[in-house]
Amino acid sequence: MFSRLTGWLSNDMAIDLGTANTLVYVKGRGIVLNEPSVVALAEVRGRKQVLAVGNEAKQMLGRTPGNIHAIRPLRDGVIADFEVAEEMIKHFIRKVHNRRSFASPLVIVCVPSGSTAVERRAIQESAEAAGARKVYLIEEPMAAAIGAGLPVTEPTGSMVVDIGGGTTEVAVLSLGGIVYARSVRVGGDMMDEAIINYIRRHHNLLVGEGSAERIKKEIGCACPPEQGDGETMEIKGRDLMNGVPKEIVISQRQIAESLAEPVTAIIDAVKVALEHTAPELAADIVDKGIVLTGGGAMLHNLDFVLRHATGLPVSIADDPLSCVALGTGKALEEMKKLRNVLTTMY
Amino acid sequence: MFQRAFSRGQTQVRGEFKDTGVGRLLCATRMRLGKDLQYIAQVLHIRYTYLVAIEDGRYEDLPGQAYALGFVRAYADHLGLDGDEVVRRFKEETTGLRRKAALDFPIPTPDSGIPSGLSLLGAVLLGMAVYGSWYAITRPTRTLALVQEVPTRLTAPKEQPVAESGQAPTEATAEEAAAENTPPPTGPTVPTDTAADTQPPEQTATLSPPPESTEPPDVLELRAKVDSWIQVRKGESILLTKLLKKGDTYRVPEPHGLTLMTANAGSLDVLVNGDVMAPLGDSNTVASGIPLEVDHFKPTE
Repeated sequence: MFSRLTGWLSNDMAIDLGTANTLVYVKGRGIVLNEPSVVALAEVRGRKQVLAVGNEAKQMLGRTPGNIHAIRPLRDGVIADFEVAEEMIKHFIRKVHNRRSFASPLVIVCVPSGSTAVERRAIQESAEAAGARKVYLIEEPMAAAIGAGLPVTEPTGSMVVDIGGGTTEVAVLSLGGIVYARSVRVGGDMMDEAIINYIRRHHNLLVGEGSAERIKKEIGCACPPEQGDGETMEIKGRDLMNGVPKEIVISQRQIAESLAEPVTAIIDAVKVALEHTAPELAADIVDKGIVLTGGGAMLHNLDFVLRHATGLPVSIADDPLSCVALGTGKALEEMKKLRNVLTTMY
Repeated sequence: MFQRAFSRGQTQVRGEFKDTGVGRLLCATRMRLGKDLQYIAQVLHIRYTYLVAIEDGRYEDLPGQAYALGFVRAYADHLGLDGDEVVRRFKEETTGLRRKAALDFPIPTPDSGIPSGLSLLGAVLLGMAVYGSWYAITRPTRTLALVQEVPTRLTAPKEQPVAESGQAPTEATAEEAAAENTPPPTGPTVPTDTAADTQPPEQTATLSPPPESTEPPDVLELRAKVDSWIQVRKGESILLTKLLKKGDTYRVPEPHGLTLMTANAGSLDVLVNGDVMAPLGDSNTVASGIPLEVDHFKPTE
């Protein structure tokens, strides 16, 4: 009774709880929040208290004193730190409701298709503990496909590749369901890690996660340029030989080399999914191609590489970063119609 | 719109060409660069027909908005154009045409189970209508069957036992139980003239009882002083098993050779023609095999 009463005072929400970014869609308002999934905790008299969440906390990553910890509570698309994740969701719910403390919204959260029941339960429980009245889960590839505007309910095969921060979801959908899905723990984070490792190996320079992400966004490329070294960028870090700060110039060709491993892993996942696709659906996919969504889809020339590796037309969705959030939001808006794509762990 | 012919590599295409910005832009750029559309289709792995549709402005022939945007962007990028700008213009052009993917999930048809509320209501109303019709049709027939006229020959014997016996309703129940073995009442209960009507004259002469037998037979009754369980047998077969409540009376039927068994011999009064006979035994003692004959019981001293 009480939860129903508080439900009237709340705005129902769809949350794309991503490893790198969390997007919040509010019913009737659209995407209202897009912030990094980072929480900064301060230790005050032995007790941990939330200092900052989102953009503010991200700026603290790698720059914190001893008593402050900037944490990313999600790893590989699932919750790595239950309590911090709960605090983060609580913060987003309160932010959406202008700090009203009665808020008890209905929440739809997307989960990777490859996540286990335990991981899904953890996500659901976190949202419930954060104050959600009712929590539904939706699989990321389905949300991405709906958000990208693919004809998922028609009797025709659609292939979506959602490259997120922690995972890459490859799925074939038809008639409102997932025919085949494959989730690999390769994404933006692994690309950042590959860049860090490459620079450390080849330049003896240690750069942070933030710098690696910036390099990826600016000159990251899935394949080396046809001619020359391509664009260049100045990067700063700590020299591993003498321990002093150092600045070097890195080229697009080098970054493409560093990203070869995660890009190959994505291509392999797509190829495996195609191998497991029924012939009729494969015929549809040959005709229409693959749609890329997620932040990883914005990696320069990734569509070109996938097109040549698979021999299929590859399209990047319109606004790939928001596809999952938009799809989850659509499920929230048209909940009666899309009820069969929503699940709950209880 | 205008007719125009132009070369698309090896294929000569003639057709109506819509005056569309993006299609014309892409076509013009491709021709300026001297690129073959078949070759571009091969490089981009996009079907040739779709590229032709984009150039001709036949956007409804493309598989869907999401795919169309990707095709246009890839084609524009391949020609060295600003993909984002071309896509923006393409979106503007297709605002009216844009087909949103309809999210109508297939719902399985219920093969059995609970029917819908409307059909359930319909069925109930139909059932009520059928019952009402049946009731209306069959009502007069049933009334006639219930009030059948009693034949005149049965009127007199029916009244006589009631008037003579004056039995309590409980006795009637006991009598009914034993009625199967009881022959129908003979001469004294049936008026002579009625019997004469139904029987042949010679048979009446032979079957009619002697004058002394016309006297009413002795009436043997058992009356319960307290609640008593009794069982009446004829030989091995049980005629009656009953719990007589305090004050209940059981009239022993005519046929002889009946025996009585009771769980409390002292609880029963034996009445012969209304006179109380000696008790069957002590209280709380089981008495069995007591012959229900008038001669067997002695009057109380």
